[in-house]
Amino acid sequence: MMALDWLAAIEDRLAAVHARLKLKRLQSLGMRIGKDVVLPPSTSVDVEHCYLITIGDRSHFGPQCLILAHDAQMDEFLDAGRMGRVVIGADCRIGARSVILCNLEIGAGTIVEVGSVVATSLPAGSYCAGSPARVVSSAEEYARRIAQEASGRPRYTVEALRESLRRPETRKALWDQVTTGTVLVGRANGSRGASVDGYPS
Amino acid sequence: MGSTSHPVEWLARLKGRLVSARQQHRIRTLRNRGMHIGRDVTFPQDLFVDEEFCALISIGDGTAFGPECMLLAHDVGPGAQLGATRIGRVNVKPSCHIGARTVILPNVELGPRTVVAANSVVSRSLPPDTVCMGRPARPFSTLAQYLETHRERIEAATTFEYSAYAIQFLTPERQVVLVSAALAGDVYIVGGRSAELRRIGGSQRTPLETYAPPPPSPVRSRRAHRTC
Repeated sequence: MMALDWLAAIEDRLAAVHARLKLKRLQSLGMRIGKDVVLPPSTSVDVEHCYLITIGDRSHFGPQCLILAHDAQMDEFLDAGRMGRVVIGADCRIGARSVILCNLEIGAGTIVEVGSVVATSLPAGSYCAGSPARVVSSAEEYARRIAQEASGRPRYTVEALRESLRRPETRKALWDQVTTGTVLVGRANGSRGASVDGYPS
Repeated sequence: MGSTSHPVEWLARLKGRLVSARQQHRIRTLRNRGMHIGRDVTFPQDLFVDEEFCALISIGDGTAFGPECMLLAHDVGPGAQLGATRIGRVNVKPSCHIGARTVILPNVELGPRTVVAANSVVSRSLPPDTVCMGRPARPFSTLAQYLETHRERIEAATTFEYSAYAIQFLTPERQVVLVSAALAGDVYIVGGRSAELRRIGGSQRTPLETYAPPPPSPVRSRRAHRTC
């Protein structure tokens, strides 16, 4: 058991180094990544054309997103492939397994639902979903809806959640609360996760 | 391009070599197991192929897959009720272009020259010369219409020559020009396909085998059994 823990810790450390080197390499190839961006290691980026990609400050990505900066589907017939910029504004939230295609801009503060395909530009401050992604409502309206669902419900901090998951009786109480409705978990200190150093622009 | 000094760059290049060698081996193994992979197919490293039933899959000449596609030839959906797995043929005919993250399910035939948009699920056969999208994928427009819109856009867009602006020929100055043009509007890279056909460059769409592959044999040889 001890040896397994030790191996797992080494593996985690290696994965973290690998993720950091990958981001550094993308930045050296010309991709712009803002401050405090959460870009998980499972994100796939179009490495060959990554200099066309810009990610704004404090944007968060879910796992396994795919960012493309070229489209060569007409290449065989027209002898021409399309390339385009991908500009993701500040404070965006991109859901897990989203696919972002080329030649578009995602405005600041936009929320993209899980599993969408962003094929056209999205306005700032909107909540978008679907394939291709369309504006469903504004981000404020979405946040208001979630807040309404969670009003009068318990709210945890990350530390309190961890604490209540530790003991069986508090875990049971948490289980009851979660199965009956929305429970929010607040962050104690701003952003969490792998952040990237600021890109010198 | 690229400086040899940076260890990350150096490691990345070494990794690229290893990945392409492994990819060649993978394609050889799949062919030995009875999967038909035509000539000039873009077969990305992260293309998921149903290894167990890969003999039911056939990919025509000149077909291109985007990143992270999935080719399935079996379906265990009704497995618990029927005690059986459904298997089916996947026939991708020549010159199909499959977008990123598309999942192709069994019992499906993609007619020649079908373009499938990104993140689609192909669960039924698609007619030839169409552009399809969605989950499940349905015809969206004809290929002629699609090509006509792109032809018009190329007329209006800024175009760059592949021989100067492809990634392996890109200098920092050209990169700046390209990025500023992309921020202003449409950008097309012209001549990539013909350069590949003349074996210039070495982009993703370069044929995986420069020699003519042997025709797929319907009967598996004993040698094929041994290699897999």
